[in-house]
Amino acid sequence: MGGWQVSFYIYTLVIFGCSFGIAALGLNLQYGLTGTLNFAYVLFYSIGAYIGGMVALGSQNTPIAQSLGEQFAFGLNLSLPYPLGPLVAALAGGVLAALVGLVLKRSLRDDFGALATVAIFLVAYTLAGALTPVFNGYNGIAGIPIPFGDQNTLLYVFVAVGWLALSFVLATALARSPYGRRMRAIREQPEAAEALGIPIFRTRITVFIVTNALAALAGAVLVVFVSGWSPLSWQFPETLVFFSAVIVGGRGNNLGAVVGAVLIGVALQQAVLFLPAIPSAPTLVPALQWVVTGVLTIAFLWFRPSGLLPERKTNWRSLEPLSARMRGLRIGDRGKGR
Amino acid sequence: MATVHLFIADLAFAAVTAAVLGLATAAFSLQYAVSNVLNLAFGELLTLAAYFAYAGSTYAHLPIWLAGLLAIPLVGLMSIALNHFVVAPFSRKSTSAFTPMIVTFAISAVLEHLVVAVFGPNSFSLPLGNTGTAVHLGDFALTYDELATIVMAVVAMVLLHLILKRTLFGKAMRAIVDNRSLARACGIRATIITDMAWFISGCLAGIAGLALLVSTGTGNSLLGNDFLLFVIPAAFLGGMGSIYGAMIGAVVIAFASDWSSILFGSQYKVVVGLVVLLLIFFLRPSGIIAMPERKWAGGK
Repeated sequence: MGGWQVSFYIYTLVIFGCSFGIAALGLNLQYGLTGTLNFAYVLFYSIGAYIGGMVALGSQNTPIAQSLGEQFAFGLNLSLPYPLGPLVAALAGGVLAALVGLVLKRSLRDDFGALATVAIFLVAYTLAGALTPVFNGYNGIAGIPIPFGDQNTLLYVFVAVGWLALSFVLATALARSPYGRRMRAIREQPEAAEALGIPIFRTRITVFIVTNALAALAGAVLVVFVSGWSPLSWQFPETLVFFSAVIVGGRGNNLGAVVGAVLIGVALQQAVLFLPAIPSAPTLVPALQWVVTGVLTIAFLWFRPSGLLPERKTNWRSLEPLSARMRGLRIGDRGKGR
Repeated sequence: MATVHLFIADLAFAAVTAAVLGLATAAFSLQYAVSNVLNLAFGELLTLAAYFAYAGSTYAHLPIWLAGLLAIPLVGLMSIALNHFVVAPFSRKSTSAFTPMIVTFAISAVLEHLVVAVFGPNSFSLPLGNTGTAVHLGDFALTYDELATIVMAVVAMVLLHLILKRTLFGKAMRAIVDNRSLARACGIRATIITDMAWFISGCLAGIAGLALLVSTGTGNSLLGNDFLLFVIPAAFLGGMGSIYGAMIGAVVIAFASDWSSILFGSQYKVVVGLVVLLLIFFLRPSGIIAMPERKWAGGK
């Protein structure tokens, strides 16, 4: 195996890890912190991938465009400077989330709303496959160029890591902010939170829009690297990968969500590849990966519902600004306040 | 006027869809009524029925009707296992309605891919049964297979009704649906009755899966999950947890989706379910023929 292949393999793992990490962060804020159950999560990831891909396809006069023909015609013929593409994708995810949220209204909080997201996903999936004029149906879109060109793949890897880092910083800041406390209050005791004057519905739908936009961003980060997107990339069980990441990593813990995404989305998938392939049943090993993911999720929910990195209990000390805690460390009275 | 002829000609298809959907929706609603868990692995029960029948006829060389007949109680047993070992323990343990639902979602992925692991990803087809015309009235025509499906569904529905209303077991089941702890306090063995309800529900799901298989002639690992597209709106329309409502909701959804595919093209068939669902959520989240009140919303 040449050096280029090894590094490309590592790039692939890093980009998948970043994309899944961003999506897991979003789901952690949505489900882990606010307690909204959304089985259509991968739909928002996917709309980000489609839009992110379509704005990146660029001019239709390039040689690759002519060789791909039909599939390429779905490009929007835009040449947006780089960071705009993923942002447009995130915006599209947010708009779709706003529509879904406004329809479900107060059912966003309960199991009926969760079941409705299943139906919404299935209908959207069937339509995306059947309606060729929208996203080219089951063939999907292809030939999406990587930003900064093929020679600068490493640069894009750093950019993807940057997106993950940015999302992580924002998610952590949000979780620590008063707004994060509000989200946890809604998850724990919606009635009590409402009695204290927290606008439950407004908070829920705001979080729903922002986190699904994050999922769309994650999709856009991935799609320009894998260069194509079709309904085969976002079947119904795919949402389980993100739920599994959040549950295994630790519901409510942002770092846990990223760790879970790397474990479930990347490491497990790679570990399964090391199993001996069975020529007579080529689909056996990929199928086993799903079985392991499902069983692992159930096992964690039963034996360790708080996950690998449990959510830290908020107390007055952890709510102190970081600078105050750093000051305490410098003086050397660490532990005094405990 | 031509459209009217098409509507009448399509009546048989719509009636078959309504029969299958009625069975599946009643089964889904029954599970929710007795356990308060929305079972996302429900579609896999339909899929399993189709694969059991296929395995029985292909590998064990049974006649297809016998393989189907054996598949139904087998799916019922799978349904009991699902409730007894997964759904019930998680509902007892967790304080939120979400955890059991996520668990059934995981089970759904596991079962779907186990089917792929065992039988491969390709769809299979069964030799068609009797497609001769049984009833013929003007534009309206019904094949023997369609007639058999409808008769089977109606018989199953009548049996379900008799069990619910005429037997002591049905009375116990309705008591559990109304108030589980009160029923338990009155000496009803809620665990066993719930398992039995899941068995009945599994058998109904099995019949629905077989009927789906017979009506299309092919099956794959997504057979049941795809059908959830119609089951969920029908269950909401009938009021979740209401078994008679489920049957009415199923008839409405089946006819609406079949006739809309004549008017707008078959790819828009699925949109009817979505439109109905969105209308329900917008106007009346408790459904059209809802139970008096939901026992709990979100929390327990």
